[in-house]
Amino acid sequence: MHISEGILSTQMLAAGWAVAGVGVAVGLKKLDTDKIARVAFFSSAFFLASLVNVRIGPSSTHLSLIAPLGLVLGWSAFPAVMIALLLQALLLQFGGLLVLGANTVNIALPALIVYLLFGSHIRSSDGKVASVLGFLSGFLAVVLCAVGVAFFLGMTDANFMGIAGVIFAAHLPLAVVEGLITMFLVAFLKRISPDILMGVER
Amino acid sequence: MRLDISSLNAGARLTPLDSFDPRARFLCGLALAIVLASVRSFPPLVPGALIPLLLFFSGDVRASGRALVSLNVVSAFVGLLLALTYPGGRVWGLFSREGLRLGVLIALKLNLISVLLFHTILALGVSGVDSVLSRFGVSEKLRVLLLLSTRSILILMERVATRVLAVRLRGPDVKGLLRWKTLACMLGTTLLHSSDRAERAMLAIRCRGGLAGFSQGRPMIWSVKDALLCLFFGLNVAAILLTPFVWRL
Repeated sequence: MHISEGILSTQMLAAGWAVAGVGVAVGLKKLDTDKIARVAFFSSAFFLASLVNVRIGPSSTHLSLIAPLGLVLGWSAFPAVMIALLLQALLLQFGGLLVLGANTVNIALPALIVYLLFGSHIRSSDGKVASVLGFLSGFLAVVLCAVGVAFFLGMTDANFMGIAGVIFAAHLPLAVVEGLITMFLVAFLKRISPDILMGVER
Repeated sequence: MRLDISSLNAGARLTPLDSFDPRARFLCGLALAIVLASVRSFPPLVPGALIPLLLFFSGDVRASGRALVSLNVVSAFVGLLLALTYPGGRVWGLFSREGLRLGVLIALKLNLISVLLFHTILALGVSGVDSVLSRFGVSEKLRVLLLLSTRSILILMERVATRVLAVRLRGPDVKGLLRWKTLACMLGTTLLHSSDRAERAMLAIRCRGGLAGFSQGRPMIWSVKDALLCLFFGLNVAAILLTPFVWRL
């Protein structure tokens, strides 16, 4: 999911920071100050859950949980993702600072898109329909993230499209897994605590 | 299923730059990293490697080396993909010559930028970065989110680790859909717990008189040696930018 340091051109790094800056500014403006602790705890829960190493076939992976993050945090996903990626660099010395903008866009923008597309429908639907929408949002979020990575690579160098295609194909099994997890999570939250899906915006 | 939190560390780390003003470290590191990121050929990396190598060998080599290992695994994967997919002439009919060159260039840049940012910015730790960001006028909401997220990660870490262990002990052979359902329920339970904990944390913050303000307890003094540090980094940046022109002559 992450683009490493040293790959993107300066123009694409700047573009990533510009889009991330706008997203973070809007996210912070919409964030209710009284709910800031809630956003911090939720994003930490997602951060820790994404550190869980899960075996898929012969290899293992970390989950991205982009769709659940978007469905729970809405516009606040932008500042939450930027802070989570900064903390990943600060606490684990993994990821990068220059590519923080581009990586924030690649994760937070799909999260926001699935929130805007599916959020209100999931909140108003019954359990089964909400679960199906949950699967679609989880699948779509990972696919959009892969498209974002491909976009940044392709705009840096047109010859990077080969590597972008490989990355996109590698994301498809993960998209199915993330779809399933989002489906089960939505069903769980609809049953136990629907207010968590109500968002944190004012 | 396991939780990878063994290397989690929120504190500041010792570096050769500790005697300088954190703002000078931050600005110099960021400026040099941006210039290194813009490099598209090997010659400018010769002067560009000077400061990262000085920092690497004068600091804790073992800690920096550990951080670089995981980054280089990613870099090797990217290099391999580039060599296989990049167009152009082939070596042994398989690897693209231009792809291999680009893969090595990216690996060098990744290592240099990572060592540089590790010593100049990341080694400041969460509270140090928060103090610098506050002096640069970054939104208070964002900084509070940074501090609260760090705190809540440390609070939730043990609980999530216990849940993962419980899943492993109760169902070590869980496979298929049930595994993803278990993981989703574990995440859902963590969110419920987080929601309760966040309510109490917000009440505690209100009782203490509001958000933030911690950064003002860390005074920063810009002195002559900080200006000299900026000058040294500035000269290095100039050398990197001039190298391609000198190389052509």
